[in-house]
Amino acid sequence: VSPGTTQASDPRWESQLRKGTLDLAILAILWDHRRYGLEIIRALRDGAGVEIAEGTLYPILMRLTQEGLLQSEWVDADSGHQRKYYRLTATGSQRALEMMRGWDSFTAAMSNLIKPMRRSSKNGTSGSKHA
Amino acid sequence: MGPAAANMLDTKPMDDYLGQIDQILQGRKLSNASRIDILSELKSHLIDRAKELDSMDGAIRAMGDAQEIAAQFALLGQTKAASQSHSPATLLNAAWNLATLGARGFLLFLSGVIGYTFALAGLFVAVLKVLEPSEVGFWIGDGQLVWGIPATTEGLTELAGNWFIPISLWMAFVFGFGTTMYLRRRLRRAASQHHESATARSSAP
Repeated sequence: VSPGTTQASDPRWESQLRKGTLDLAILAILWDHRRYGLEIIRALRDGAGVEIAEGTLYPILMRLTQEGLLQSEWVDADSGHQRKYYRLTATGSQRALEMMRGWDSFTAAMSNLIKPMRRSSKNGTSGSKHA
Repeated sequence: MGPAAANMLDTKPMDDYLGQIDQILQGRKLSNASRIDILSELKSHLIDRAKELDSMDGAIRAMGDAQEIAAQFALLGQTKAASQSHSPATLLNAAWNLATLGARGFLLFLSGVIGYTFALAGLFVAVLKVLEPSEVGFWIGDGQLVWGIPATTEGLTELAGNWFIPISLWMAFVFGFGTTMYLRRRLRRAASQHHESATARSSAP
């Protein structure tokens, strides 16, 4: 596909970007209280616009638990069956803060970088200069 | 939807779905407790979701492909076991499983094979030096540099003498230990990257 025929909008890029920050999003969701898997999925969808195949969340939670960032416990639910709740460990809280600082620094740098694009976009002009 | 209606949901599709996952997880390096824990959590999710959607089939569709999910759990269990192991066979086996998933895994497996081959070669020539002291050594001359047994020793000088044995053993240790540590670290990272890419794949429009 030549550049001239490539679609300007690529939804996959946005999807990849959101998935790349999934660990941080999960740690942020669990920052102030424990949640079970389906609650995390809802928070991802409603809070960050991240839609994932729901089953893929659980291997991620297992990995984060193995890495010592999360701990889990089974709790009897009102619905008549048990749910597995996750909460941050002390290491998980520390890692979440480190990731947050990295994220802030990255987004600030990117915002600075795309400032000229924003200006051009406001003025309705294209940034590329064709001969 | 009330509890009575929820209880009337057909659970057979859920049992079949979890059965598929269980089948893949069995025989992998996951403890029974871990396997039961995984299946219980997925079951709990499916029940809640089916109540929301009023459809078990819908809940299963939203959950995603059973094989993909089971593969992620299996890989995680295996790489966890391998990343805590010092056994070259376990590490190479886990690396081979990653090799079947992509080029990076293949390169990891290849580097493991090369590293352990050098380690074995170091051990082998150290033993050979004991058996054939005049033939084995660090030979130099005539444009050649040989660690081991040259085709002919004519025109070559042996430099290491009996030091050849401890140096070879030391090289074997460095290659063996270095490869083990490298594989353990890379396996942990590779499993994590595979999960991220699998998650992205599963939800890409």
